[in-house]
Formats: sequence, structure tokens, C-alpha cells
Amino acid sequence: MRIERLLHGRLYYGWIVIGVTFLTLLAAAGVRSTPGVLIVPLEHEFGWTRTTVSAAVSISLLLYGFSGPFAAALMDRFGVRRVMLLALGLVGTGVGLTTVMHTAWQLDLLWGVVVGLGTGSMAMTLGAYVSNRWFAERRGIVMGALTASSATGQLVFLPLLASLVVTHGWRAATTTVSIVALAMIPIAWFFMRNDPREIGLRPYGAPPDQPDPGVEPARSVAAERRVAGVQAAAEAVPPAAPAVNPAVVAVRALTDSMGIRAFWLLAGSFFVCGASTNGLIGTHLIPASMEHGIPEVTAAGVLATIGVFDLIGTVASGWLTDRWDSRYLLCWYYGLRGLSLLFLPYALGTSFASMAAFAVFYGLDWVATVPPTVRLTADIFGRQRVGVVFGWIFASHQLGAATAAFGAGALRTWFGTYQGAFMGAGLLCLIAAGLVMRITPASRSLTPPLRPAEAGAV
Amino acid sequence: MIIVPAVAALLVLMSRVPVALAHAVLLRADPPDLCLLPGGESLPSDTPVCRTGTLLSEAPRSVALVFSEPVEPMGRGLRVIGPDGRRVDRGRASVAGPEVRVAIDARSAGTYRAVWSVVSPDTHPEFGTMTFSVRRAGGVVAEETPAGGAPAALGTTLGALAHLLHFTGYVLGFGAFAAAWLAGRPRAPSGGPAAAPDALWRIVGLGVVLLLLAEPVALAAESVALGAVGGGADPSVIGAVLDSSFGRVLSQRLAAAILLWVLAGALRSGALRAAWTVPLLGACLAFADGQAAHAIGVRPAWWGLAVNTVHLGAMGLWGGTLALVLLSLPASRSPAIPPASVQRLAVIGGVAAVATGIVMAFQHLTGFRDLIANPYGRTLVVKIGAVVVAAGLGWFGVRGAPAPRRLAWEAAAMLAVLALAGLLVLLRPPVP
Repeated sequence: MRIERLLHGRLYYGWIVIGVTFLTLLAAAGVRSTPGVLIVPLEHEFGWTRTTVSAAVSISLLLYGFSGPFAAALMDRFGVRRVMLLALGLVGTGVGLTTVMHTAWQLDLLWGVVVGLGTGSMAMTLGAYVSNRWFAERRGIVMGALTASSATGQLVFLPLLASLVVTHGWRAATTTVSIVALAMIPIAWFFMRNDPREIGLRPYGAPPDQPDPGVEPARSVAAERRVAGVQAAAEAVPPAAPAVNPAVVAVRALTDSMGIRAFWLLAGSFFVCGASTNGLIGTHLIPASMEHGIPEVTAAGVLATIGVFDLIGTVASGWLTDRWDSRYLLCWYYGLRGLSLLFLPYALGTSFASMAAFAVFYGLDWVATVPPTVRLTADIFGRQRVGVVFGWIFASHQLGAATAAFGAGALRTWFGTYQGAFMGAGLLCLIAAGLVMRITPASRSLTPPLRPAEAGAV
Repeated sequence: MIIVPAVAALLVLMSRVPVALAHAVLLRADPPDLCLLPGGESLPSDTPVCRTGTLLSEAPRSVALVFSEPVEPMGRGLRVIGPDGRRVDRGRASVAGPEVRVAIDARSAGTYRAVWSVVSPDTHPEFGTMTFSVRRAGGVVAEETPAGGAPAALGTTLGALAHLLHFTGYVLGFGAFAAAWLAGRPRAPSGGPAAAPDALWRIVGLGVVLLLLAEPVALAAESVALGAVGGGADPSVIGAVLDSSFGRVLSQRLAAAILLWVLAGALRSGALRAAWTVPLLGACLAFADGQAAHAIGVRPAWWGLAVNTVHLGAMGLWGGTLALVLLSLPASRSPAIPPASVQRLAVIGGVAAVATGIVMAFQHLTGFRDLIANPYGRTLVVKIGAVVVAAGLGWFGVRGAPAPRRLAWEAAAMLAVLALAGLLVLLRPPVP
């Protein structure tokens, strides 16, 4: 309690909370990017096939996505601080235990289940939840900063991890990651708070006569839309009324949306997005580069470059989303991404300049698909439900990532080359470009947004 | 929409056409292959010198093959089997320009066989065997005659089928659309392809399906042909095929088919108005197809590719006009597609195809004698006959009213032309 009193009047405590959340998401991003540098060393040490290692990665990607909609329920029940501490502890011990594992099922359990569930509670849901609780204004910048931490996590950790693997072995890398995650626990313990009301504050920018953090004033909406479109998800997270089970709300939203064609087109295209980003490139670019004679640290540097240009691309995409039809933007993004994936195998075999060009190009495209997809979701499903519906579309993203991580590994083992995987992913992206053009922007007669009383009556 | 030509240029750049490269033939081997004739042909496999090969006093350290062009070995590329039937090659074959070499660990006396499968720069597979003996002839290898007849024939059949599907898909998908666009343009300045009948979109959709279907068949053809010498197809052969220049052309063709689907959907829903993107994509695909044809063997390469592109495009246009006429037959005179301009387009397409075809004949044949002496020439003669039949039937149709039976024969003749064109691509021309 003393900490808040020290800062009272000089700095709004919510910025401290956001800072802690930023560091936590950074650590989680570091954990999620580690498997890429581990694939080849694990194969060499234990004699596992590419398929076996990819299976564990795909389990973690899957659980990362699917625990998102339910993590919000946990945060309501137990408080953000407790969930954060538990998740950090889970991730830290799980990663640390991998240094003593022997068999493949232990890899699946630790890297797959434990890390997947742990990082799933430290995903965009956490960012949206915290920014919604502590901020009524400035949510755009807050959400943008928290989303950027995921890209920064790749940037900060990957080259360091790769050089650790090369000089000291893979156990040094996992131990480092584990220590970082566990080191965040005391920081979260001291500085994290669940709600501004716990320490006698109001959300940033909330007028005095409006204590409820969930209801936002209309004027801030247009201002926030000008920044990255991701904060549309933050705006529309429904207020947590105690009588409502948010898990029920989440599942209800899914069953309601499944009857709408646009939902399947958006979820399908986002499936391909996940498959081509986290699933294929995020997991397999380093092993694929090593097969073409590119050293591990250089390949990690390529991924880090993608992370840097990812920041630029996301901001630019948010700006573009406000000006152009989202479907055209998505069609261009997926089309160019597909063509660059078809081009990648030849870039790997030739000069470093083409790899650099690929990194720049792909990096700009990496998260750029998110703002237009969120915008289309908001246009079709309405701003009240976009948070929870987009949660499911993002789960589809992770399902695609899991499928691609495993599928690329299996294809590599079966064919002996990554060519089939890159070709398949590139063609899938081109198909996604065609799918998004078939989304009709006019919203049909949708069921009115779920009111808490209705959901609670279930 | 300046970016669309830029993307098209990217597709073209991806072709990465090597300058003046073509079909590869085996020039010589080390140890020498006595069975090999100049020009890449071999003596019949049951002649004694082919069964046992050259007789060496000491086992060589490595076996090398020198081709006329730089090649890509498939999988292991070069395998050497000892007299006891076991493999004696160690490690992967190394490639230095046109030479493929593998180290061998040969101890026993007897007849050895080297089995090789490579991909030429024009994506066509080349495979064969060669024998040599150490100290004496004999052993398992000398007894058996190499198989490879049936799988090789299957590979050729599948390859011809794949090309037929590809060309037909090209005609229906790109040719019909281009014909409708060119024919309808002066009539509908603002509507454009949005005024096109539903049947046109169905034809384009069928074209996309055929283009997509052609590629797995082509992959099977190439894998069967290359796996034939090894005995059985295994997934690593498919992986090696995908890694080669063949895989590059395969991915470009599939990408073009999917992009056609994307563009057609956008045009149909009205989201895209620039209909010229589809013919541009068709031209790019024709250009990319040149990499897998004999066009890149012509010197200079750009001339061969240009002629090939125009030839394919013109054939697409001619076939497309026929498809349009077949389309409008049940419905009575759809006003969006006037017959007169369609006939004009058919004539333009046909004349351009024949003209470029004559140029290509000059490029690939050494003289009139080749037309009867060489399998390539003989196929070309049959193709010319089919073209004459198709053109003649079309000419009669211009005179009178379109009759369904005559149109059916014309369509059959056109299909025959496409099938023979596919076969021509697979055969080896006299030049180069």
C-alpha cells in the first residue's frame, strides 16, 4: 500500500500496472518464441523426429488460443493478480523442468500443455482486461503498447536464445527463460493490483459520476478507432456482472455466431493467418534456414527483423483500416503473403539479400491482418460483441497455427524437405485472399447482443 | 492499380529462367559407358557390351556422369549397385556444373550398375543405367535386365494427361474470359464483365478446377518416371521432385489457378472493376509455362519464350471463342456477346497460333525430313492435321448457322490439338 501513496498525485498507478503487464506479456512472448531455436538441438540430443517435436509445439499453440476466452472468466473469479502469479509460476516451472526430461510425452506435457495453458492466460485477453479496468480514456495507446510487447518479446529474446543454444547448449536457453519468468513473480506480487477501486482510485479519464469501468463514453470511441484497430476488442469486453458466468457468455457467443457465413469466412481466413505466421514461420523458419546452410543465429536475426517490421506494419495497417475497405486490405495482405511464401524456398537457397527482403516484406505483413479482421468483426457483429466473437476468431488463428506447426513437421519428415509445407501454406494464403473477398459487409439480422440477465438465466 | 502489374512482374521474375538451357543428355561417364552413343541414345540393353560394360582391372573410387547441361539430381541422384545386389555408393551425389559424382566403396569383383535420375533445367526428368565390370563380369547385376519400361510409359501417359488438363483449363479459364472481355468491350463501357452471363463464370470455374487438377497428375507423372529406375515410388522422391525446378513451375501454376479464382470472384461480386487483370494473369501463366517447355532451349532464350507465350495465348483465345459459342447455343443470341466480334477474335487467335507454331517448328526441327523421321516430328504432323480440321470446321461455321454436331466435331478437334500439344512438350525435339 505504501507504493501507491508514494506515487499518489504524481503518477497514476494504472501506468505502473500497465508496465507490469507489459513486462509479463514480454516474458510470455519470449517463452512462446523459444521452441523455434530448440527444434534442431532436441532432435540431435534425443533422436526425435521433426514430427514429434512439432507435435508438442502445436499443442501449446492450440491451448494458447483456446484458453483465451476462458481466461477472462478466471480473472473475474480470482482476480488478475492471482491469475498472473499462477501463470508465471506455471510457465517458469514447466520450462525449467524441461531441462531434466527424457521422453517425448514429457515434452508434450511440459512444452505442450503446461506452457500452453500458462501463456494462454498471459495473452491479449490479459491486456484487454487490464486496460479496460484501469483506463477509460487512452485505451488505444495502452492496447497498442501491450500488443507491441508480443513483437518486442520476439526481438529481445530470439538472437540471445540462439547464441545461448549455440555456445552453451539448449538447456542454457530454457533455464534463462525459466529464470526470467520466475523473476517476474516478485515484481507482479509487489506492484500488481486487481482494480483501481482497491486502492481508492478511479479508472484513468473516467468522470467522477461514472464508477463502472465497463461503460465507456461515446466520444472516446471515435478517437480510439484512429489508432490500431485491436482496441475495438478492448472497448467491447462486456462488463463483468457478478450474476453472469463469463464462460457461458463465451460459449453462447460462439454458438450464436456459427450460423453466420461471415463468421466462418473470417475464422477461416484467420486460420490461414495463424498457420502462415506462428505455425509455419514462427516455428519452422530456423530449422528450415539451417537446412540451407544459414547459421542458427542469423536465422534468429531474420525472425527478430520480422518482429521489428511487424511493429511498423501493425501501425500502418491500423491507419489504413480507417481509410480503406477492410476486405481489399485483407485480400492484398493474404495475396502478397502467399506469393512471398512461394518465393521463400528460393530465397533460402540464394543470397542473403533475398532473405532480408523476405524478412522486411513478411514482417510488415505479420500482424497487419489483425486490424482489418477486428474491424470487419465489429462491423458485422456489432461493437458490443466484438470482444468475445473476436476471441473465438483468434482461437481459430491458434488452431491454424497448431495445425501448421504439426503439419509442416510431418511433411518435412515424410518428404525430407520443407518445400511442400511452404508451397502448401503459400497456396492456402492465396485461397484466404479469395475467401475474404466473399465477405459481404452488410450485417444481416443478428440476434440482439446478449444481456447479462439472459445469460445468467441459463 | 499500378501494383497489379508489379505483382505480375514479380510472378514473372520468379520464373528465374536460366539463359539458353534445355533438355540434358548424358555425354560421357567415368568409368566409360560403352553402351552410350553420341547424342545420348544407347544401344539395346541386351547387347553384351551393355550388360557387362567396360572391364576394369581395379575398382574406381567414384562414379561420375557428365551431362550436356547442369542438372539437379533427384534424391540420391546416383546409386551404384554391386555384384551382390547391395548398394556401394556412399553419401549423396555431388554436383559440379554438368557433372554428377558419387563416391563408391567397391571391393568385390563382378559387374556393377549405376542408376541415375536427374531433372533437366526444363523440368523434364532424365534417367538411365550404366554398367561396368571389375576384374571379371558376373554377379546378380549382370544377370538381370533393367526394368523401367512400364513405369516410364506410365509416366509419359500421366504427363500427357496432365498437360491436356492444363491446356484445357487454360482455354476455359483464361481464353474464354479474354474472348468475352475483348468481344464485349466496345459494347459495354460501364458494365464490363459484370454484365457477363452466369454461364461464363461457370466456364471459368471449370477452367480453374481443371488447372488445379492438372498439377497433382503432373506431380504423379514426374514422380513415377523418376522413381521408375529406383523401383517403386516413395515419399522422398516426391519431396525431391518438389525441391527441383519442376516444383517451382508446379507452385507457379497452382498459384495462377488460385489467383484466377480470386480475381473471378472479385470481378463477379463487383468488388474489382479492372477486368484486364485476368488476361494479364493469363499472359504471365503462358510465360511461366515456357519454362517447362522446349522454349528455353532456343537461343536466345527470350525469343523462344516470347514465341511460346504468344502461341499459348493465341491458342487460348481461339479455344476460348469456341467455348463462348458453345455457351451461347442454348440461349438465343445473348446480346452481350455478338457473334461477329467473336468470329474476328477466333480468326486472330487461329492465325497467330499457326504463325507462331510455324516459327517454333523452324526453331525445333532441322529440316523437313524430321517430320517423318523423328517421333517429335511425326506428332507435329498429326497436330497440324488436327489444326487443319478444326480450322476448316470453324470456317464452315462462319458461313452458315452454327450446328450443334459440327460444333461438337470442332470441339473434339480442338481437344485433339491440345492433347497433341501436351504430348509434344514431353517428347524430345531434334533441336536442341
